[in-house]
Formats: sequence, structure tokens, C-alpha cells
Amino acid sequence: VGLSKHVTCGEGSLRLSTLLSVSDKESEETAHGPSGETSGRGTRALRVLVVEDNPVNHAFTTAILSNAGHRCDVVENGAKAVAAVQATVYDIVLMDIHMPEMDGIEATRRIRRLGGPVSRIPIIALTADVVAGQRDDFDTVGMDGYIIKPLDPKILLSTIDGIACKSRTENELEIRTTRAPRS
Amino acid sequence: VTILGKKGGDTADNAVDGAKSSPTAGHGGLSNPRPLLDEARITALKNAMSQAHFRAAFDCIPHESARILNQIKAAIARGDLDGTRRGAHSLNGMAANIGAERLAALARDIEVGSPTIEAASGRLAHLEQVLEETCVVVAEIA
Repeated sequence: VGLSKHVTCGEGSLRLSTLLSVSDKESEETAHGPSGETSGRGTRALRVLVVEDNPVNHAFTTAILSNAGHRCDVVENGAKAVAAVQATVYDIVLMDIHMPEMDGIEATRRIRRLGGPVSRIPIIALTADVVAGQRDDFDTVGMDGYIIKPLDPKILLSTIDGIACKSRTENELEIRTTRAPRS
Repeated sequence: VTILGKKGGDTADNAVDGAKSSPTAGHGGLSNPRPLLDEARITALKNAMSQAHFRAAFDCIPHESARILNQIKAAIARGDLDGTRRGAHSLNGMAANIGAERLAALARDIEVGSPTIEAASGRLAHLEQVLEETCVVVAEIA
């Protein structure tokens, strides 16, 4: 936990600073998906929380992800995102920044403070503009990366694939480490 | 934080309505208008989802854009520049996502290029006109 590494998988490239699982059982589930499903791109299907207040934007985002075999839930503000990640196990959160009630920065800050595995869920910002100060904000609250709008379907999917690849690789590494015979 | 994406390049050559844009056309002005819809963007979206999903998403556009326009109008009417900018930001993001380049540029003009409520108000009529034109083209595609 807290390990920072750069992972490249297919077209996706991202730095992640979290581990997704804490036990062998959870690792197995995370590595293969709760039902062993795979996405249409050969990677495992992920459960994605899309946090976006604009209905058109989340319709397109979920359509792209669903078409690739992933499962999506949508909430329209940060406060609902904080509640959603505590109620359901997600593989990744795609977080809009500017939203009513609670923005994506504050929602991420609160999720990171929850403690336990849920606080380490990968969170990717969806943002229209990234200026230097905003990048600092993303880093400060513990976001794992960002995708600039308008969303490019290929970049969106490669990012998701990167998360899937990363979680599988790290979980397999963790399993091997756990099961390695002592010398 | 690692950069996972970058803003799409200029795609004026694929303009649905034949209009041309240029890398220097950073606004929605009439002198060098951006295309109403970016054909390359539309194609990319079509290829990334089912036809049913594509239609469903496009069907949302007229209602949602009208809702945001009303938010902007209301904010201008009460002299709320921050509210006006928030509405324009939302419209800009939505328009950019669907490849509505001219609408996105105009919304961005209001969001970041209008230092006063009067300046934003002065751009409202043009924004409304382009939004209507965009919705006509969207309806044809959907």
C-alpha cells in the first residue's frame, strides 16, 4: 500500500499509487472479476462508477464503457459518489471535477479519508481543462490520473484497460509473494 | 498525476457543415467559425458504441442544452457572473464531447472570455442561435 509505480498495459499508461486488494480471496476476485467476465477487448470487465452531472456526457461515457463490456453505475455529484463507493465495490471511479453540491476534488478527498480498501480505489479525473494548479490539486487529494474532455473513446478504454492490467499484475504479484516458500 | 489524454486536434477538414476552422480560431466568432459538428468526432463516437446507445445519447442533447441555456439566461438576468460561467462551462463540456465545436467555442467565450455580465449577455443571442443550429444537425444525425 502506498507503493507508487508506473504501469503500462496496451495503449494505456498511468501511474497508480494504490493496491486494490488486501487478501487472497479478494485478490482472486479482483484479478478475475466476480464472475470471471471479460470485456470485449480481452481484458477483464470492470465495475466502473461514473461521477458526472451532465446527462449527455454520462450517456456517452457509459455507452462507450458498456460497449466494451464494462459495467457502469452513474451518480451526478461528489456526495453521491462518496456514498456509492461505500455501498458497492468498484474497480475504478471516473470523477468529473465541476459538479453541484460536492465537486470531484472534495469527493476524492473524502474517499481517501474513508480508510480500508475503498479508500485506495483508483480515481481518474474527467476534466475539460488542466492548468498547473489543478494538477497539483489532483495530486494533493490522491487522484491517480486524469483524462481531458472531450473524451476520446480510445483513451478512455485504454485507461480502463490499464487499470484492469495493473490490478491483475499487482494482485498476481501479491499472491505469489504471499505464497512464496520461506527460505 | 500522469497525463492520460490530450485535447483533440483540429479536425476542421471533417466539418459536417463544410465550415473550416483553424488552429488559431480559439473562439466562436463569425469571422472564422468552427464547424457545427465535427464529423471525425461523430464517427469516433459511433464506432465506440451501439447504434441504440448513440441515438439515446444524442436524443438527450436538445433537452439538456436547453436546460443549461436557461440556467445561463437566469444567471445573466440576476447579474450572477459566476453562475453564468458555471453554466457556460457545463455547456462547453457537453458540446465538446459531442463534437459541437462552434457551440463549445461560444460557450467557452462566455466562460473565460467574458469579464463582466454585460459581456456575457452580449454573447447570449449568438450562443442561442448556434445552439438551435446545432440541435437541428444533431436531430438529423440521431
